[in-house]
Order: sequence, then C-alpha cells, then structure tokens
Amino acid sequence: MGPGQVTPKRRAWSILGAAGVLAAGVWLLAAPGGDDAAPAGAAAPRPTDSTWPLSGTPAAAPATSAATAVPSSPPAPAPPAPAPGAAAEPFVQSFAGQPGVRPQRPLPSPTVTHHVRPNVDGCDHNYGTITQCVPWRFPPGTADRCAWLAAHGFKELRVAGVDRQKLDSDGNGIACDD
Amino acid sequence: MNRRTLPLFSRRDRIRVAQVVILTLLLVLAVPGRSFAGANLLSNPGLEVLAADGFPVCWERSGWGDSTHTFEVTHTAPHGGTNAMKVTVDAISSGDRKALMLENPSCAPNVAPGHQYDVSVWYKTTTPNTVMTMFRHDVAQGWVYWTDLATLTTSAAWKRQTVRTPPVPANTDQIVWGVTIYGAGTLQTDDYSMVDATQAAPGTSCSAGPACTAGAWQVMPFDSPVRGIHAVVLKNGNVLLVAGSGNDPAAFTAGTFKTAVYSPRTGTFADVPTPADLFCAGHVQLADGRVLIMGGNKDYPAADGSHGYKGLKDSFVFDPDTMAYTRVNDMSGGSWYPSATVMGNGDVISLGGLGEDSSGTVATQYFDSSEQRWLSLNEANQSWSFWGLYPSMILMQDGRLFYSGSHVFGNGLPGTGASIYDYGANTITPVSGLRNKDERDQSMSVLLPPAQDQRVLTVGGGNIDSNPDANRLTDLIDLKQADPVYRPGPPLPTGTLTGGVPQTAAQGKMYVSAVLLPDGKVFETGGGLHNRADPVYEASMFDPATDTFIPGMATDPVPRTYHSSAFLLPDGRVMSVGDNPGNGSFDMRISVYSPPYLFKGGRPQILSVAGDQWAYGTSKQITVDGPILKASLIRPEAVTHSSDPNQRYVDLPMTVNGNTIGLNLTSNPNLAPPGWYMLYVVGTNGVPSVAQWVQVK
Repeated sequence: MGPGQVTPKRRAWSILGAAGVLAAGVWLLAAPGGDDAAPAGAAAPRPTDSTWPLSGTPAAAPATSAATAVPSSPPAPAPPAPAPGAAAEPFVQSFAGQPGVRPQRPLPSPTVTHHVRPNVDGCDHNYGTITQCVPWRFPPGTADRCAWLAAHGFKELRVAGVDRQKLDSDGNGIACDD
Repeated sequence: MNRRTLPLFSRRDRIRVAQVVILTLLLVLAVPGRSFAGANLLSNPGLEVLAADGFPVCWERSGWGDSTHTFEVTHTAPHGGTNAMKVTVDAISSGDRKALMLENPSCAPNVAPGHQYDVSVWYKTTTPNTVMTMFRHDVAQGWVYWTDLATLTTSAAWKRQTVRTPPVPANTDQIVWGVTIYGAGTLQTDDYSMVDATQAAPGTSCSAGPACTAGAWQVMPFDSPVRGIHAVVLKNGNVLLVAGSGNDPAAFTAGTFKTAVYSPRTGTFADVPTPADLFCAGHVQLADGRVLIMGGNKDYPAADGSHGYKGLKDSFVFDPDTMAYTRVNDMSGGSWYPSATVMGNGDVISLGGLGEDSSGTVATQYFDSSEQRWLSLNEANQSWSFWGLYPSMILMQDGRLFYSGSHVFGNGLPGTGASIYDYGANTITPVSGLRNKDERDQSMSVLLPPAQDQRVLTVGGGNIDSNPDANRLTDLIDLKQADPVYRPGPPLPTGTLTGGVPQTAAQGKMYVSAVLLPDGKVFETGGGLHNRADPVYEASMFDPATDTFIPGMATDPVPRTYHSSAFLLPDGRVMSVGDNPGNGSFDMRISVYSPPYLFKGGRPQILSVAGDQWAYGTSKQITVDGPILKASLIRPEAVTHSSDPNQRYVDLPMTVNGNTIGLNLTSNPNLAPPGWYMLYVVGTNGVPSVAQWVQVK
C-alpha cells in the first residue's frame, strides 16, 4: 500500500472524526440556550428576551399622556381582556412623605412689597462703575483695602457716591490714588 | 488454543478517539456566541416549592396602599412546572402590590458591588401598570429601595422580559426584586431568573500621560463674541450663549443686547438678534426643544442706592430651527434671577427673583405649555413666598419641587434653608440638615445620577455679603427617605489660588460648576474664594456610587468665577465659559475639558436608534457595535450662576440581545420631563459614545 493510499480503518476513523466535529457543531446550534440559558456576559450577550425583536411601534403612547401621580383615577374593576399596546401610567413612588412635618400654608396675599436692599449683589456701588464690584465687606484678613483693590485689578476707582469705606483720603473723588 | 484477548480499541484507536474528543471539546469551547448556562441565583425561581401557608418558599406578598387585591398560586397553565403567581387587583386608589423575594439572608440572592445582573421573568398581564422593582440590602442602612427597571407590556400569552441591572451600588450584598402591579388588572408571573452578566472589561491602555487619570483642558484659539453668562445646550448640539447687556451698563444704555449660537463641531458662532436685555433671565428647554426665556434686566442699580436691579416681565421663546426669538405673553411679575423648572407635564414653574421695582417677586409664575402662555396670578396657585434669587428648585419623582438651598446672593432663606414645595397642594415643608445655609450662596446642586435614585448633592458656596472664605461643604440628601434630611458629604478637595498658592484646609469655593457625565459621575470645576474675586483652581470627579471625590482632575487654565458656567457637550466633553471679576472685566475665552474616559480607548458606536420619539414606559431598540455597560439619557443643560435645576441623568435599564439593545424608559415623566435628551451608551472600557438626540414625550 503506497503512502498516499487510505486504509479502510483510517477512512473509518476519518469519518468518525468528521462525524464528531459535525455533532459538536450541531450541538452548538441546537443546545439548550436562548431563553433558558445564562447570558454570556457583556462581550457576547445572548438573546434574553423572547419578545425580541421588539414590535415596530412599542406601546404607542396615547394622545394624552398623564403626568400626574398615580393612581389618579377612582377604583375601577379589572379590565376583562388585555389591551395590547396600552401605555403604562406613570409609576410614582411614595417617597418623602415627611410624616409629622407640619406644612407651611400659603401666606396671605401681600399688601406690601417684599423689600430687597439695593446692593443685593454685595457690591459697594459708591465706587467705580455699576459693573464693578468693590466688596461691601472685604475678605477676612484684608489689612490694606487699597492694596487688595490694586491686586485685583481696580484702577482709577471713581467715588460715585459717598466715600463709605474711606478709600479717598485725599478727597479728590478717586479712591486709593494717594 | 489460547488466544490473546484483543482489546476493543488498539492503542492507535484510543489515540484517535482522544483526538476526536479533544477536537470536539476545543470546538465547543472556542466558538464564540454561545455559552453554557450560568447559575440562576434565585431560590425557588419557578415557585414550585410551597410553604405551609401555601405560598411559595422564599417569596412574600408585598405592597402598600389602598387596594382590593388577591395573591394566588395558580395551577392553571403555568409557564413551567405546576405553579405560577397570580396577583389580581380589582380596585386601587393608592399604592401597589407585588410578589417579592424574601428579604432575608437565605432567600435574597447575593450580589457583588459593581456587577450587573440579567433579571428575567415570564409573565402575562392585563394592565400595563407594572414595573420590575428592585431593592438592595445596604450593609449600613439595611433594605432600601434601589430602582425600577422596566414596564411590562400587556400580554395574554406568556412572555419573557429580561433587563440588565445597573451596576450594583457599593455597600450592597444582596438584592431582591419582583414585578409591581399598580393598576387594576391581573398579573401572572413564573420562572424568574437572575444571572451575573458581568464580564471583566478588556484591558485598557492609555498613552496620554496625566490625561489618562486627570483629563485635559484645551483653551480654544478663539474668543466668544458674547459674554456667555447664560448657556443652553440646544437639541441640535449647538450652544445658545446669551449675554443681553452682559453686565455692561454702557451696552444697556446703548440698547446693545447680544446672543450667539456656538457650534462646537465647527467652532463658529452665529449672531442672533436679541429683543430685550436678557441678562439675568431664567431659561429652560420646552418639550419641543425650544428654549423658554423669562425675565431679564430692566435696569441696573443706582449708584446712590435709590434702587437696585429691576426685573423684566418680558418672556421669549428661542427656536433652534429658526434661530430667532419669539415673544410670548408677559409674566405676571418682573423676574431678575428667577428659577425655571420644567415639570413632568412640560409646564414650567418660575419662582423668586426681583420685580420691576427691585422688590422680591413672591408670585409663583406658571407657564402652561399646552397654551404656550404664562398664567395670570389668579390662574396659578400662589404661596406668596419669596424664594430668593435663582433658587435651585429640583423636580422630584412625585412632581413636587425640592428647594436645595443653593441660591445666589447672600444668606439662604429663613428656617432650615431647604424645603419641599408642593405646587398642587400649595404647601411648603422644611427639610433640615443643610449645613451653613447662609454660606451656600452660589453653591451648586445637582440631582445625582441616576435620577431614579432621587439624591441631590449640594457643593460649596459662600456669601457675597459677609464675604468669608468660601467653604468646602458638600451635603447629600436622599429624597427616597420618608423624612429626608441632608447628611454631610465628603469635603471638596482643595486646590490652588492665583500664583499656585495652596488653599488652606478650610478654604473651598463658590461659583462652582457641577456637570453630570455619561459615565454617571459628576465633574465639578471652576469657582472662587470670595465675592467676584480670587479664583480657585481645583477640579474633581464625584462618584455617586461611593459618595467620594476623586481629586486631582486637570484644572481649567482660565479662571471661572462669577458669571461662569460649565456644561456637557454631546460629544462627552465639557465646555466652560465666562468670568466676571469685581474689576468689571470679562474673560471671553472658551475652554473645553476632555474627561479621562476619552483617553481609554475606542468609543462605542450607536449604529441605529429605532426612532427619535420615545414614549414613557416603553422600550426602544438600538444597535451598537460592541458590548456596552450602560445607557442613559442626559438632559442638556440650561445653566447660569451655578444653577441648572433641570440637569439630570436618567438611567435606561437594558434588555440585551447581542449588539441589539432594548432601552427601557421610565413610565414616570417626573423622572424625565418631556424634551430632547442626549442618549449615551458606555462601553465595557468605560468610554461613552457620542450622544444621539431623542425626544421624550
């Protein structure tokens, strides 16, 4: 028997090998999986939802989508049959009920305005332009306010109102220039 | 004759048999796409084993509220075995019912923090008012609500719903879950399953040096043409920058009011004619993606103190499609520094601010989206309370507003400095625990990711009147608690001042910006130490999963104090604008931050989205190019003065089928108010996709 010839026994083993590979392949395709198998992990997730693929228009929303807490309607009997495509009402949790916390009721309609002081921005508008902000109170530890202003880019600071913070010692209408 | 007994297989035959077996095994193990079943972590998942009371072992009847209902172990046509669970709600006026796994060490499945699980159930239901609800066992707090995953659509036949959980939070050792029914109808369930879906992320490599862990800033080689005091990310990915007069009295006097639309993709700006001085206005995106602008600056204060800032009653809608403002009816009162919160029905509530005469606006101003107009005073519920300036009013999952205590200018409100406002009931209830409520001026509050967790973080703050060093305080509140109170959070990391001078251990910052990122973290950046002075160079990443800061993020080279903002761009970067120190100058530079996740590898690709119109309580299909860890909707920012109460990250629990993913949108509009959102997915390498735009409605 020449070297290129195949003996019957070798042929049988070859057929057996091929059959084994084929069987493995068939097993791979038909083995329990799909809905009953575990996920393969993030890298190769398996089909996990028997509803897949989703219908083309999942749960088309009704024209009026409620945005109020549920249940918002009075008790009603269970519907007799499923309503495919019906939209879910909002699911709202009963969090933060604050038991025992007394709610503040509405105040009476005001008869006077709610006063807010003019320098609500914390700036001393006696100095500079309105867009500038000499602090009404300088940061803690500020020993030399003119030095602080100079270090923060204030130049030729005009006294627009009264010299409340005594920054214009020479009285020429320009703060911190002496 | 003695014949030697021949073996059934010769040595060579045995070798060949072994070769076939090995080859088969190799083929089975090596071929991807199919794997062996992982362990179902549930006890009695098929409900087949009954306890003495006739109810399945390891399961309990659960729920709350007022309803007429029954729990039944039915033997009629179960999905598998002989038993199925049947919960019938005949009538319900409040609450819900569910068959729930027992919350005990024996029955509740053990989980690992950071892992994700595919949970599934077979079901039939006659009502769509159902949701898969999860609880977790916190090693410190005990059993607490975790999240809701997906609404089950009605089905007369057995149907399977599978959802992948978000990563299990830190300090969690067990979870339980069940299907909640909260409407009249019948729900049957059977054959529950829960398997660990986590796979170790592939190795990542980063060659970007410090950017790998700190990210990197880039200052744009061009300036903004307008003072970016108000910034709104539009539904097309462009950025609306509104200056109005821009805190420039000369421009105000000249009637020069400015708006520009910036395109991050092209680096170009388009000027927009601006009809009024919208400096100091409020703003929020409407459900259709247009931007509602309310109020603005009627006048600057007088130098002699005879009056302060005055608020406009004007209101406009900016349309990104037409690039133009359109006037709507006036508000009922002037509004300078008003809040603006979009509600679950798309309406807008505005509180606080200054009126036309510089007094505090005490009216609740209500924009009816269905009529596209501001209601008159008598048409809206009035509490007549003054809420301060730019009060941070965050929409809660039940439609109430949480006033976080974050505000602009001076002291906080009297009392505890935080509260819950119920517009419908017209009540205000105090919330305690906020520390130094009078030094939270220009702090920033954010609803932490995910919105389903209902937790708020308030960061930093100072006081422009008393002008102390701004603080490092952070406070956290869990609005899921029955009686929520603020708890101290970790201190803000310290940074440096001008010249690289390190901050002291007591120094923090005001004018802080906090930006929700698609990986679920919060990037905080910018800020200053004093009233319009002393920028602080510090940035960090807050991780809501651990309630800790990751310090040492790269700092914006541009000072960002008063009139600065930072916001998320659709490509996952963060843009920062503005700085208006006390000397009256304004920094027109734009800087953009690339977070570390952009240096960790390729970005996942969203290949398709099944439509850009998303209805509440539905699942929307997307396809991606590889495995993803999570998906979210992030509401584009509309920010000014460290205030954007509408910023939110809505988790989208996934139903995974290879590269086809079903994204489950909450049924609750208060968790995701109607509007355009940025849809992100995050790959297993932690890298987010570029956003796709979808409209929630």
